[in-house]
Amino acid sequence: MIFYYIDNFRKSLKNLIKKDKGHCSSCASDIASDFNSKTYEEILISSTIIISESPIFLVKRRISNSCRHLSKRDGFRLYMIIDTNKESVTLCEIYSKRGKLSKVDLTTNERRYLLEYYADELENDTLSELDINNISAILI
Amino acid sequence: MSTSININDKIGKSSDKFIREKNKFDNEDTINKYLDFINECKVQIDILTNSLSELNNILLEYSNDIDNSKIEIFENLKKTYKISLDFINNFKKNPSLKSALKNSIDEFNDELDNLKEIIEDLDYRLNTYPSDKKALKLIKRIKELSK
Repeated sequence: MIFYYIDNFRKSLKNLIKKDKGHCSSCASDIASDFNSKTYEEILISSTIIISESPIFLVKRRISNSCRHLSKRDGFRLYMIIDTNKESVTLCEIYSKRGKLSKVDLTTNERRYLLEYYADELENDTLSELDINNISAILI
Repeated sequence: MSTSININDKIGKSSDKFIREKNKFDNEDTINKYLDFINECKVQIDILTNSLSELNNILLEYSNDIDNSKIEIFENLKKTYKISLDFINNFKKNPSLKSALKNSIDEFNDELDNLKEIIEDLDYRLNTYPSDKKALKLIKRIKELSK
């Protein structure tokens, strides 16, 4: 299984960590812990499918926030695109359910935007590979 | 005189202690029953949540042909969620049990929240799909690019 990210994910992660450090500093390590030893199939099954055209799935995942000792309920929401043919998981957007930058959910347009962003990066061959155990490296 | 007061005091204190101990055991018994009940509800909600995930995925398979029966199922699920929410809110109103049951209530709330999000996602699906042709078009484009 290979992990990728679109630049939109990098921006949203940077925004969370920079602007809401006290609340979201554990974000990168929380994602890594959540994915620990899971296969792409396990990730797909345990996430909520938003829209799909097999083998492509846009999914949403609930992640706990260890920094504030918050459960999944009050933690982060991670949007990803899973390609079951390529066995790849691409991180697209992250937001927090609590704190200064909290959101209830993405709008229909924001979800479409993620699909468009991913398609463009795929077309331009600009998708970046991600070391899931060292996500913070993309912020340097 | 003072001795008898002391004895009465002691008997009184001992009696109070006995009553406190007895109440403690009675409360523990009640709390344990509540805990069992909440844990059982949590298991049921868990089962329901998993069923909803299944339903979500089935809907996805057949989303081009969402018929009224599926919408009826969805409406019923909404009611189930509302009943569960009322149930947990009633527990929250009982302050003497609140701290003892905090962990269970948190876990239960977490499950309910999970359920709520799945219902919201189902709602999104039913309201936008297949009418969200833009998203469908985009995902088809991704599929082509991924070949």
